[in-house]
Amino acid sequence: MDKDKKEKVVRPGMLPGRNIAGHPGRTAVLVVLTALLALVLCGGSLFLKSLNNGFSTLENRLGADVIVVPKDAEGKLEKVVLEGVPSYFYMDKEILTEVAGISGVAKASPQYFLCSAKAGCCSMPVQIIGFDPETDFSVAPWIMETTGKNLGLFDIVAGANINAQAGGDVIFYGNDCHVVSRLASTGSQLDNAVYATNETILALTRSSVEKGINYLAQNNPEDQISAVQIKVAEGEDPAEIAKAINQKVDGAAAVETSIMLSGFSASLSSLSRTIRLTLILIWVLAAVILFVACTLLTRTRVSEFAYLRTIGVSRSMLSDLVLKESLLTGLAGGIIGCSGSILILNLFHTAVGNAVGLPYLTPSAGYATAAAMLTLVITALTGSAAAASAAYRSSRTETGNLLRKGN
Amino acid sequence: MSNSDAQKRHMRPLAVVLFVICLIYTLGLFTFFHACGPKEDGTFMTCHWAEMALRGTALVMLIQSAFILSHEILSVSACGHEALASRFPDLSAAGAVLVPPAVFSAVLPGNVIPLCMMESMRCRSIMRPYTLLSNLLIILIAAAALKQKKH
Repeated sequence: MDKDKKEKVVRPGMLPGRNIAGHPGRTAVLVVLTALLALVLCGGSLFLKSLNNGFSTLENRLGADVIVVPKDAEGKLEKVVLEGVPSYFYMDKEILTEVAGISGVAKASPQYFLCSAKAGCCSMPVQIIGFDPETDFSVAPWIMETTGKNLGLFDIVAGANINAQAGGDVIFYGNDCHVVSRLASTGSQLDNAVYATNETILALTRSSVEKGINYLAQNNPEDQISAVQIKVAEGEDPAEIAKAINQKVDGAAAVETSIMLSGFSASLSSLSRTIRLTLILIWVLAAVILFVACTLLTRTRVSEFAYLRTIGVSRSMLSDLVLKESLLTGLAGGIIGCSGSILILNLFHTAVGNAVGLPYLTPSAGYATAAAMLTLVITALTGSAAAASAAYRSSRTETGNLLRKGN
Repeated sequence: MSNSDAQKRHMRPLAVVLFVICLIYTLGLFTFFHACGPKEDGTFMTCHWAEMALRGTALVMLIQSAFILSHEILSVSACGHEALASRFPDLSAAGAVLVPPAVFSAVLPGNVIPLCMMESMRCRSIMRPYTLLSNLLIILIAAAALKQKKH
């Protein structure tokens, strides 16, 4: 009997929790509203950060200031690098010597593009990019960073989107290629490529010609290259170097990488502006809805507040009670919304990246946690402000009036 | 009216939520969240068989959640269907009947049945995350249902 009595004692500190648990419908409305607010805020900021991450990683990964390709292959290069459409094109190897001799060129390194036949398991061809380990400055450093050693014949490094485990084998044109490592994600279409040294590419090109697949490489593969990566000397203008190459080297076109990425940069800034504006609009809309919901829900509790006042609960205690309740529901909604947005954006990161058509790289766990914490603070404050204004209005009303309204 | 009678007349929202999620999950697999299509020669990639297995498991889970919902509806209808209701699993049994197939579905694509080679392919970028997310939700709700008292 005594035990039962003890269980029924409700201390003021327990009231917010009891109120929340005792009115599941009301709590659900507030939690869902704050969860939506948190989902939009946290998801939006993570989405924007992913786009910025993807763009800066792609910029770093490209490495070269200028890329030289065959005259008719400028569009193909953009498709390979930016859109991930596997392709191959070739030009005479002599062009490398001509380009390297141009004043202002600090480093020049050849690259070889090959496109795999559709693999046995999939209906998707894979882009194979070859590089010269002795001269390369754009691919080799991050391959060295990942593998810690140089690649041998038929050794390959898979991009992050190629689902091949390190130590396993992948067959290209009937050759078993050993996967040495998988590269970290860049969020760009370069993740869909496989990287190998020039000797592996030459062997694979020969196999592709033997199989009658690579009709473009009918000449001796050793005399051909696909592109030349150029690093300009310090103080030199890449645009001037590209112009000089276009004027002096026959059959080749020089593309400035910053120009190639400028389309991405423009799309990125316009998309970022739109998203920021949408985020602000949604936040304002959600805050207004939250204010209206809090006011309406507080009005339904007029008699409850009046009874609490009659049993000695002061105005400040009443405001405190409403604030604590809103803080708890705000936190619950915020946690649900933030976890939901982080989970959805992480699980569907590839699909989201494909849908926006821009480099998209999910931010680190630290950034996601910081964004979630900030969102939690904003949602809890918005919810509390909404509840505080409603509680203030209720607490200003005389108890007798409250009781009459409640009846 | 006794307390237990009042409790009986209350339809528990978890049973409806569970059924709706299982329905959305199944419909998603049959419509937008499917795996890669056939190759040019008409043959299918391995992910197709993962999709078939997922569809089968999803249908089983949908039927089980429909049984749970039926029990709930019959129990609260107060039309003397208690005997019929007892033939269907109660919401408190959701953990036992839905968690094992949901766990199996979550690990099936890519682990039990391999998927395609590229992360950017549909089976990896759309079907697998959808399966993971949906089954995680089903597991959480089924686990929450374990706390429900039997009708």
